Order: sequence, then structure tokens, then C-alpha cells
Amino acid sequence: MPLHYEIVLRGPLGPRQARVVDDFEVVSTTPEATTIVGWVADQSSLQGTLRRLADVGLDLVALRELPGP
Amino acid sequence: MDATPSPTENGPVATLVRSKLDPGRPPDFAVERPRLHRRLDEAVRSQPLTLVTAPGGYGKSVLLRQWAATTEPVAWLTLDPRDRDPVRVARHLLGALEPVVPGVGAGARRGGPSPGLGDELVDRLLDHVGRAGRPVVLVLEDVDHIEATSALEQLARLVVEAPPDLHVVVACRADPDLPLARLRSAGRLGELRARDLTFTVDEVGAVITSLSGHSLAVDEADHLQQVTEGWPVAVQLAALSLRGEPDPSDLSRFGPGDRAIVDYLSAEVLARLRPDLRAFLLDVSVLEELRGDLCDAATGRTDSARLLEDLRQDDVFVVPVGSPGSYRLHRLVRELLRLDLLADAPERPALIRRRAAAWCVEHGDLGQAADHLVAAEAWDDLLPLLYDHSRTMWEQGEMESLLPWIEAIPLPIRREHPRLRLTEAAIHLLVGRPEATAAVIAAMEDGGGVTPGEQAVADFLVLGLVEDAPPRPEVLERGSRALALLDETPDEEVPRVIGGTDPLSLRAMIPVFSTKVRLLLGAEGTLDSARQGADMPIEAAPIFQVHGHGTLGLVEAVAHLPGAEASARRSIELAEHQLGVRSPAPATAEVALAIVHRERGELDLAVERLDAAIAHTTRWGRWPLAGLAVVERALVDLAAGRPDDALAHLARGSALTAVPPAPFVDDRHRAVELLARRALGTGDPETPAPTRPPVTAELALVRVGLAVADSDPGRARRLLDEWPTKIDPLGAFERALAEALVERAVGSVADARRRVEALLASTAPARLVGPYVLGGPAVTALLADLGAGRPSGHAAAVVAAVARAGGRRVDLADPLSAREVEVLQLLPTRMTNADIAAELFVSTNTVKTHLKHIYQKLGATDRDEAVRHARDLHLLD
Repeated sequence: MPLHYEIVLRGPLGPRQARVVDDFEVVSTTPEATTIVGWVADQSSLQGTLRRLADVGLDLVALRELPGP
Repeated sequence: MDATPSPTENGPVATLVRSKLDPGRPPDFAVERPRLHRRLDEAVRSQPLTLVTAPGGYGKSVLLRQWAATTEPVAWLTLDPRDRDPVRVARHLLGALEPVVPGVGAGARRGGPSPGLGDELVDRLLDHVGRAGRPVVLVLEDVDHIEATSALEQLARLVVEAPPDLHVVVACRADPDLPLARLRSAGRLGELRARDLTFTVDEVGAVITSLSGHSLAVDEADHLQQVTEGWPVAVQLAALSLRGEPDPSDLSRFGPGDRAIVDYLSAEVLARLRPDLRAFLLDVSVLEELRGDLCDAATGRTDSARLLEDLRQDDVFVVPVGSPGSYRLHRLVRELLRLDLLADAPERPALIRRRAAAWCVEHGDLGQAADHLVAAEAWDDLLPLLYDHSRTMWEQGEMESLLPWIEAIPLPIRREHPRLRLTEAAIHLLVGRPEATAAVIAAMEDGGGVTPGEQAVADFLVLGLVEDAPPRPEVLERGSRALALLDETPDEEVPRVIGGTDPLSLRAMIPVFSTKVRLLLGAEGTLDSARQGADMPIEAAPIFQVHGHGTLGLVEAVAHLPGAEASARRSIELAEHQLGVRSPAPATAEVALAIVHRERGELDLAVERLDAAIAHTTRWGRWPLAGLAVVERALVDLAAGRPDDALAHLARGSALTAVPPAPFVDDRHRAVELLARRALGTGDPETPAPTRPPVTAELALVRVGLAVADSDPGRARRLLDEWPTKIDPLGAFERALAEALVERAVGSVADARRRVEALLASTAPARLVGPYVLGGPAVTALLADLGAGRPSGHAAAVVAAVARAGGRRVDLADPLSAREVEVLQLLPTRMTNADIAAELFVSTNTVKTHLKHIYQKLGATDRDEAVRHARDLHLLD
């Protein structure tokens, strides 16, 4: 059962940093934060995504699960 | 199939290992950060654990390398993804500490049963460091790689119990699973976190000057510090970008805290690199460790060593890791480069991994090769590697790594390869996960299409589950079927699983496993099966010989046969010479030897063997043998007159594992419990009647003995009629003793005496007193009938042993004189006769006369035996 998540990251994303989450949709970008939403297969997949975001230097601001489609 | 450590002392593997243990020189461009050095100095002076934790790009590695270069002595260990195997961590940790704490690793390879970073090794480290007499600083870098492993749990113990001289510095990207809150509130934790590691305005200025050659005005440095928030990697990239284009105002397009800054700046800096360096960096972003020769092989270049050297002199991209010529990429930059490479040439990363794997295989680093192939999803290359080298990987201690490699292969592909499935099943068996072995084999058999050779190996593995879990009688048929398949289809290919399932090995081990199944079930024919098992061809692998002789020794010990000690010692010696200490294989022999010692009244020696066996077997999940060892431990307590300790050990045995006890072990458990409760007078668990019939002669004997002691010959006789097995060499002694007890109880004293004399004649040569203990208090009366007056010699020793187990004293027929008691007190001291004479102000000849009388009265032939008997009789402590 895939999960729908919203992830808020600090600041805008660089083009390569954005590629880590290229299956997510960018819903807003401000100088302060970038908000993306997308589907992950399960918790392991979510944790992996968060780790890869940290690996390219991005800070997590908020994370929440969205209701299904 | 157990491990034999084969250390590789030279070559690239050793170089890679050395680079883990050597921080190397800090990079030339690095700016000194004295304020942080002082914080570290202070932290290690006053706290056992210092945590250096921050996400990528905060300069943890550089800071610690600079600090280590000015701090003496430092033990250094950089962990990597393969250190999820605690065996590797243990080996590296000893290697790291050896130069700082000389002797800490000495004998570790042969000294104990530890298969990894177990309690024993941690005790050893704590002990050695505690005695080193000077501060020891241990730096552990990249601890994230061992998150959620048993190695980290043990490191937590090391930190919590650290002696005053030990200081551990842990560097990681995310807080590790150590008891941080507890240490923090106890004031035992020093911390350097992201906010501490950010560059100050002064440091920003110094970095820019060091890397770009430009000087920034104070307000420019201040602005850069705000934009980057002092994030070291961003400042360094900014400095590099300023090299060609000395206009700091260019950075104004970034807002404060903008994390995209590293993305843009690194792209800019890369774009300005020499094309060959840029192409090289993109290619090697796939690799974790960079060496000239490895990079040449992986990229197809011939100038990698020179390019790495150029990069080192120039830039922040590569970080030296210890031994000369070894580097790794800056992590954050590496991640960005990998994303670039994947976008530019999606097929290239897998190609580079496959080439790197080939190089690693050629240079003997099979684990690294497998990691590359898994990352490349190159299953066709991985399978032959796993098959050809699983034995070596196992012997190199890569056991914990083997399963993740196999489990990384998609299930549909695994299903297509029965040999792979059998390997998977065998690994589960070897690491003590019987239910997983059974599940994998069941799935394979359900899938159909199993060849006779594969079926033989599957049957062998199912039979081998007896090491991990109590057997069911049906598995004996599997053993016979496997042997029949081998005989009927001699030309059939038999898949080699971890190098140990060729027809010869199967033929050697099936009788050994079958013996254990029979023993644990209390079945007939165990001794014949054990002899057949030990009589294996000389070409069979040493590990199998160790199992064969150990199992024979165990069966002989249970049968009180004189060959037990020789068989057990042969197994243990073979293991010492041919296998590593990490092997649990000789544990069977350890238990056998413990039984021999206990039956001779050498209780201390028995405890020593049992403790070793319990440690070995529990760590490797060998539950049936572990259960037997713990029950034996309880029996030693009972024999020593400590029935309460015996009950405590039994309780511990029951709590050991969720695996139910094998019938043989359960029977012995009940037997010891009945006798211990009788000795304590705390009620009979089998009142009014036994809950189930006995499987073994031992339990049957205990019940008969207690019925006789209760003066209930009717019950004793009924119990004799319900004897569990036909008369087999196993249980023959118990049957005869039980019959003697019943005969005496019903008045056939002469018959009973004849039987007892025969039994004593059989146990006297080896001086076995243990077998009589299960007869309980009734044995005392039985022996009292022998000859006129009180028993003497071996019979006296038996009476004393039985009485001691019952918690009672026995008086000597001819009590010791006061002077003899004085001499006796001095016997355990190892004083010579002349010393004793001087101590008591008498002549040496007088002492000799006293000794002669003491030996006579105690039924002993020498000093050691006199001491032992005196202890049995509570005449000595």
C-alpha cells in the first residue's frame, strides 16, 4: 500500500538535488522552503528518500502523510 | 563449514584494512581550528564518550584528522558498510588498539570462543585498557555504518563501562544508538554538533585565503558566513569558485541558509576543472574507495594515480584515507556527482561497478567485489562469485555479509537457482536460524523440479537442523534417503554449497547428524551410529572429523564408556589445530569432556568446560547442545551439594531459548530437578504420579531410586517394568543400578550385591562416581551391604559422592585423628612433605606415616585424590 507524503525542505533545491526526488511533484518554492509531494512504497522507501536528501545536503523542515488519492 | 580465520597480511586487502586504521595526514588546504581542538582535548580529558555528529559537509573528518595528528596516542578506526559483520569490527578494533595498548590483540585469535564483538572481547578490552596505565583515545569514524548491529550494542557497553583511562570519540552523521541521554545527564558525554562545527567569520576568511589565495574584506567574509551559515563544504566550494572569478558579490544571489548553494557552486567548480579530471571524477563517484590501480581497472584509464594526486594537491574533492595513494571522495560532492553521471550515462555506473568487482576478485577482496555486483544488480556475475567463494568468504568471517548479498537478489531469480537456495538455507543453518532453513527448503521442494543431487543436499541440511533445534523422528529417513540417492545416482551432480556438500562430505556427516538425532530422541542404536560417524574417511574435512569424534565422545560419555575422554580430546585437538576459535564445532566434545570430569568428581574442570560450551553454543544458536550443557551444569551443582544452585541453573536453561527442549535434554532436566527438590525437601514435582513416561534411562533410574528411598518397592518395580528403551549400551548402567536397587528393596540382597559388585568393577578403573548420583539416596544403603562394616575405596568414594549430592555428610568408618586432620588441612596447599613437617614441628617420616593413614582411611591412592575425597566428605572446604 503506497503512502502519499508531503516533504518540506529548507531553501530552494539545486537542479541535481532535485533529481533525488524527481518522482515527486514540486508544489511550491520560496527562498525559505521547497514543498514537494509524492508517493513512496512504504516506510523503508520513505526513510531511504530522507537519507538521500540529507546526503545531498538538504535540511528537512516538515514531513506529513497526506490522505490517499 | 565453520570459520578458519585466514588473515591476509599483504596486498591490496591489507592496504585497505590499514587505511581504516590510520587517519593519515590531514589535507594541506585545511585551516587549523584551535577552538575545536581545545574542546576535543577537554572532552576526552573529562568524559568517556565524545560525540562528533553533524550531517555531511561539516568537516568532521578533517577536524578529527587534524586533532589526531596532534594527540598522542590515538587508536583510529574508520567503519565502512561491510562492518555490519561484528567479526570484522572485532578484528579491526583489536588492530586499531594494538599499537596503543600493546598485547590487547595477542592470543585473541586463539583465546576464546568469541565469534565477534561479544561480551568476552569487550571484557578483554576493558581489562587491557584499564591496566594500560595511561589514557587511551579511540576514534571511531562513520559509526552510521554499524547502526542497528550487535557491534554497536557492544560498543555501548564499552563506553558505559569505560575505565577512567578510556576515551571514545564517535563521529557520525546521525546520532548513534548509544545511551546518550543517560551519559549526558551523568555528565559523561562530550558533544560537538553541527552548530559547533560551522565556520566563524574568521574561519571563513582563513578558508577563502587558503584555498583561493584571495583575501576577503571583513564585511564580505561576514556576508559569506551568513549566506552559507558557516556550512564548511559550502564555504570551501565558494572559495574554489573564487579562484577564477574573484568577485564575492557573485554569491549575493544566494539567500541565507540556501542549501542549493553547494549544488550550484560544485557545478561551477567542476565545470572549470580540466576535462580529464572532470570525466575521472564523474566515473569514480561510483566507488567508495579510490586507489590508482582500482580506478584504472574500473574506468579503463591508465593515469588514475596521477589524477588522484592532482586532485589531492588542488581541491576539496578527494580526502586521503590513511595509507598513501588511498582516497575517498568528499561525500556530499560524491552524491551530486553520482546524480550527474546517472543523468549523463545511465549504464555507466553498473559497468564501472562490474569492472571494479573484477579487480577486487583478482586481488582477493571478495566481499568488496560482491558489494559492487549487488550495487550494479549484476546477478549473473554475482552468482558464480557466491558459489566459488562462499567457503572463503565464510572463512574470512564474512558470514553476516553473505545473507544480505543473497537476499539482495530478487526472489524470482533466486527461485530459478536451486543451488543458490540451498546456499541460503545452509547459511541460515550455520548462523542458528533453523526456521529459516526449513522454510527455504520447503519452498524449494514445493516448487518442484528438484534433481536427485539437490534433494540429497536438501535432506542433509534438514538433518543438520539437529544442531539448532530438537529433531523429529522423520528426519532420520531424510538421512537414509540422501545416502540412497548418492548411491543410486553416482553420476548425478551434487551442488556444492559453501564448499561442504560434495558426496564425500555428505557421507561423512549424515551418520554424525543421525547420531545426534538418535541421542536427542532417546532412540536405539545411538552408539553404533556414533561409531560409524567417527569412522569417516581420512579425506573428510577436519571440521567433519571434529564433529564426528566429538559426537562419539558425547555418546560414550553418556554411556560411561572409557573411550569418551580420548574421543572428546581428539575432537578438541583437531579443532585447535585445524579450525579457528570462532568455530562452535568442538562444543560437543567440550560437553562430553565435562561429563567425564563430573563423573570422576572433578567438578571444577567440568564447570570450566561447560562454561566454554555454553558460551559457544548460545552464541551460535546451537540450542539442543546449549540446553544439555546447562542441564549438565545443574548436575554439577547437584553433585557439589548445592541443589538450590542446580534449580537456578535449570531455570536459566529453560529461559535460554524459545526452542522447546529435546526429549533427551528434557529428561535430564527432570532427573536433576527431582533429585534437587528431594535434597532441599521442597516437594516432589511428580506427586502423585509422573506426568509422562521417561524417554531416557537416566530419568527412569531417578524415579526408581526415589521410589526405593520412599520404601515403596511396588512403585519401584512398576517403574522398572516401564523402562523406556530396550537394553542398549546407553542406559545399561542405569538399568543395572535400578535393578539392584529394586532387588535390595524386595529382599534379594545377594542378587543386588552381585550386581553392584559388577557395576563397581566397571566404574573403578576410571574412578567414575557420577553415574551413581542419579540413583539418589537409596544407593548409600545398597553399598553398605558390601563386605563387613562400612564401604571403603571406590565404593566409599561413590557413597560420599551420592551423600554429597543429597546434601548430607558421611562419617568415615575409621575417623581421622586430630593430627591427621591437621596434616589434611595442609594438603591442598602444595607444600612439600618437608614443609609440612617443619610447619607441624615433626619429622618428615612422621608426616609420611600420617599420609599413609589418611590415604587408607579416605580410600585414596595419592594426595590429589585424598584432597578430593576429603572435600566430598566435607572434611575440607
